[in-house]
Amino acid sequence: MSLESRSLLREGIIFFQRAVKSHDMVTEVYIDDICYYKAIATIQRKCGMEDLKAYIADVYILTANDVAEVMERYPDIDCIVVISNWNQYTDLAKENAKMLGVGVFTLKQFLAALNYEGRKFLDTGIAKAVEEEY
Amino acid sequence: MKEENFWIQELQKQLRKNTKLLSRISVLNVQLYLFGSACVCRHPNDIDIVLLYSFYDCNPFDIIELKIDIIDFLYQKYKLNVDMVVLSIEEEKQAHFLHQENAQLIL
Repeated sequence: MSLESRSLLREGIIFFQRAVKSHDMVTEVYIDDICYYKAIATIQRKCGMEDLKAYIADVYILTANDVAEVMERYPDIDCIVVISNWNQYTDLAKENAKMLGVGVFTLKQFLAALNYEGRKFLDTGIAKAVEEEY
Repeated sequence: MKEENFWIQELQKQLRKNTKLLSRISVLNVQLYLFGSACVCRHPNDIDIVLLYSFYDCNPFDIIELKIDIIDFLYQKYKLNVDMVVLSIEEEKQAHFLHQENAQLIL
């Protein structure tokens, strides 16, 4: 499967963990599960903000079908973060995930999204939504 | 046979032999493309395939099942990892992944 066939480099996980942990709104990052192609992380945030469960993926391009597959296997996640060199996801992947209440982000977008909850969290990375509504 | 044609022809041959799989590919109106090193090399580390489907005409779980079965079938044949990107036609219009990766049609 595309979600299983690329190797999620351990360096990528370490980079993710360091970047997220150094964020102003984050108290701790726990890697709950890690394997060849993905990791699941729990992010504890400050100021009474809810914890986040993130699926960290290394894929060529995250597609709508990948989102369906991730959500079937991990229905309790809050977001999918693409950390590959390609750093790509499709608009349809983002839209479908949003309908399920799940965010789809690159790492850079995720670092911005950590400041928010709810719709603003889900919309981080959508240029139009940010410009028009906030 | 040219290096760049080897895997295209090999995959076409094997997939056409598997009539059940071929029938599902046809019913779901799916197209398969080869990209990556197997396009130019007879001994690649893995086989990179794009499965192109219509998002609005297909159940995503039928596509996931088909993907798993194609990967299993090809892995059994060649003992090579198969890396499959499942992309809808609608997403391809945005991403231009096939063009970007110079993908070649298998079926």
